[in-house]
Amino acid sequence: MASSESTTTSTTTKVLRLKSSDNEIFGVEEKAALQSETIKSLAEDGYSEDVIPLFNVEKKTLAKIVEWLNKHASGSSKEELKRWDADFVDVDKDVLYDLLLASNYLNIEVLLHQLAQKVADMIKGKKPEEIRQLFGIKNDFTPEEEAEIRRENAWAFE
Amino acid sequence: MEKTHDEGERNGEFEECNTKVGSDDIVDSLPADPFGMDIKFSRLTASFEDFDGDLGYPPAELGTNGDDKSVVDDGVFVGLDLFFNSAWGLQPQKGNLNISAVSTQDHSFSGSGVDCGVNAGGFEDFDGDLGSPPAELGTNGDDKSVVDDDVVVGLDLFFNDAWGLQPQKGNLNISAVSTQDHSFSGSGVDCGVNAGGFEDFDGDLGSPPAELGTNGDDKSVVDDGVFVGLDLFFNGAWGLQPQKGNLNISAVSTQDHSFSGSGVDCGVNAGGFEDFDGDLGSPPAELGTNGDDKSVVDDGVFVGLDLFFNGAWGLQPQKGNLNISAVSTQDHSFSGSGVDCGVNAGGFDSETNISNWDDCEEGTELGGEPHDALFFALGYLRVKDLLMVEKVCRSLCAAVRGDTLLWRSIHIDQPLSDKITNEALFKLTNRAQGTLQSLSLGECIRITDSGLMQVLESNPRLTKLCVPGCVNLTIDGILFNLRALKSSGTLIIKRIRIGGLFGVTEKQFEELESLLGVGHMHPRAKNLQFHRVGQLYPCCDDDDRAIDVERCPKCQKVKLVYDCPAESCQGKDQANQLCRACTLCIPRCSCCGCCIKDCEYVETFCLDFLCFGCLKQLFNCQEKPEVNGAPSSGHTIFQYETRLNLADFSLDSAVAVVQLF
Repeated sequence: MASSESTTTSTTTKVLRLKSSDNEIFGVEEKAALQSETIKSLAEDGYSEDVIPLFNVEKKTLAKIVEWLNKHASGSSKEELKRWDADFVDVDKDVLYDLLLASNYLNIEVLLHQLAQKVADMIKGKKPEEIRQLFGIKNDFTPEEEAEIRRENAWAFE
Repeated sequence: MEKTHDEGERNGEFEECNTKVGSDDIVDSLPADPFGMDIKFSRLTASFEDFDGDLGYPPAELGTNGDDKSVVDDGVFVGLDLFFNSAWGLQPQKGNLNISAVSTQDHSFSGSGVDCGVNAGGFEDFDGDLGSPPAELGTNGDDKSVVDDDVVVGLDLFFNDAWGLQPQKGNLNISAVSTQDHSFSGSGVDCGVNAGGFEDFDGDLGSPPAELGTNGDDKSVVDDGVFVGLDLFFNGAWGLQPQKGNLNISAVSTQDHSFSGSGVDCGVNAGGFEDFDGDLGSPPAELGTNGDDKSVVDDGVFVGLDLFFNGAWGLQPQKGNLNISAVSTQDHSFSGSGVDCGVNAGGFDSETNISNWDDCEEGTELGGEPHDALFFALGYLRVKDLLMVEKVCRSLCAAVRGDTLLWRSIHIDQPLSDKITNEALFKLTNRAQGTLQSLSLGECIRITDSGLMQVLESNPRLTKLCVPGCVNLTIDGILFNLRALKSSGTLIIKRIRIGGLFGVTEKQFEELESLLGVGHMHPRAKNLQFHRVGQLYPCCDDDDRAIDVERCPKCQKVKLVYDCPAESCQGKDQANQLCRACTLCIPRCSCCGCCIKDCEYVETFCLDFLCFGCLKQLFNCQEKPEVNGAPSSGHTIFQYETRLNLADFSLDSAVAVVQLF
């Protein structure tokens, strides 16, 4: 990863080693890694010299997260970051889910906000049936329940 | 039979030709043969086969009639309009394509039809053998029918059928059939319709797939059946756009309509549809048989029967090993006095269920529980979308309704503004369970003082109230509400927005200030307030002022007061003060908000003003719209308005309007 290059080129920056649930280790500069509140508190708890285990994040998701952490610590311009972020969240639904849950677990507020906003944008303006189809959700209402909800929200959709 | 004559004589206008030979005239008046005396109307169109193997027998065979008799007296048909439109686009491009498509549109109209059998869409696409005829219509034994005084007026049939099949590559095996069958029989005997007999086999077909029933001995008599203004309109549009992979798509759409004044054995089998990988042992669809049916209809009058059917499909599988089978059947059987009106709609058999478009590996079940990640997004949705999500499934509904955090700040804007009522608002705010902190109602015209009062009473933690443009609220009502809260010691509202409320007096404004606990000379907003269309009313979160309206420095009336963005006016503090007033005292450009006292401007269609700077910019935008990217909605409105206005633009009239103020 990019971080392994930085360890060779620059010895002054401290590198934290993050371990995914499937035992892949990612080296991340401390400055980048500490954007995650979870990593921050783990590092403060004395994991910093050792490998920080992240049991809830798989390697393919963690790779993306590390990519995001590095980019947001790189000092890119606001406009460039905005463009980059838009591309970053433009992924398959399943990847989006994984990233969202991971960023929640890692407590990276900015990323969580971006991802949740992305999911919200996917929902916006859609009808219930379209939402079901898009996200693979089953309609488990009974006809009575459905009628009840329709009646209650009738004012908004008439 | 005697009754028939009696009825005929009562209808004087038909009396003179109330004889058996009268029907010859009708035949002459009709364009084609099928209405002749010796009625044996059978029609088959568009039998279509694409075989790799052998065909043993004729694929489609119409039934035979034994001994038929029918008499039509005084059948009058006026204004019969038939319009059929069929447009196909088949554009296979490459790969192992095996495409078979057939569209049949059969229409059988019989004043008194005997054995009106229609077989539409006899369609087969085999890789193997066909043992026996795939579709066979029933036979009739001994049928008799008599129709007297049958009047049909203004029968309009309009069919429109547009297909677009655009398979592109890979091993596609597409079979599609669309049949639209319409059988209209004044007194139909054995009106059997088999629409959409459709098979796509990889294996063998042992026996006939579809077989219509047989009738033994049918009799029917219709007297004075009058049909007026029968309008049938059918529209079926398909779009099948498989793109790649091993697709095996089979689709059938059948729209069957059987209308029988007195139908005997009106059996409709729509959408007999099978998609097999294996064998078919026995007939998939079989209509029942009738032994001995009799029916008599007297004075059946049908007026203004309008049937409108519209079926539009869009199937857009995209990748993977999709196996999609879909059938849509819209069956309508109307029978004045129907005997044995059996309808079998949506005969649908498919070995595989409809798979999820995206991930068909997930299995046969369409969807499941919403993913945990979705719940994170709820906080980013506006009220309208939350109400939609609520209807998706139980768990999302519970999450939306149960999470008070989602309702702590409620912002109602278009398109809900016009719709929300007092009751609906009360229910929505109650979802916060008393934790409501910020309520913003932009131009909610149905909300009244009493409605707002109810909300304020049950939400004691409200600190921001934004009701601009709610024209049914009054300043008196708001003051009354605030006073009530104050006296009960629960008034914690710190910010209020009432821009757009009419006629706020100096006294009322003072009371409002004191109720909110702001001094007479409360500090002006740190941000400058500019006049902008589209954001006519400032929101609670736009600035930290307690109240949006203030005394206009010029006229001293309580109004929304704006600053000037023009550089010349902003330069010095004093100049800035001078160009600060309500829009009546200082008219402003509705686009940039600058004062227009020193510059040229135009008056738009909406009586807003537009400075030349903005006008020029608009023209540039219009010339090069793509350069402009995505203009704001406000901009778009102006482009339109400007275009309207420039035609009779007159600087004089604009100035005259200004002078009025």
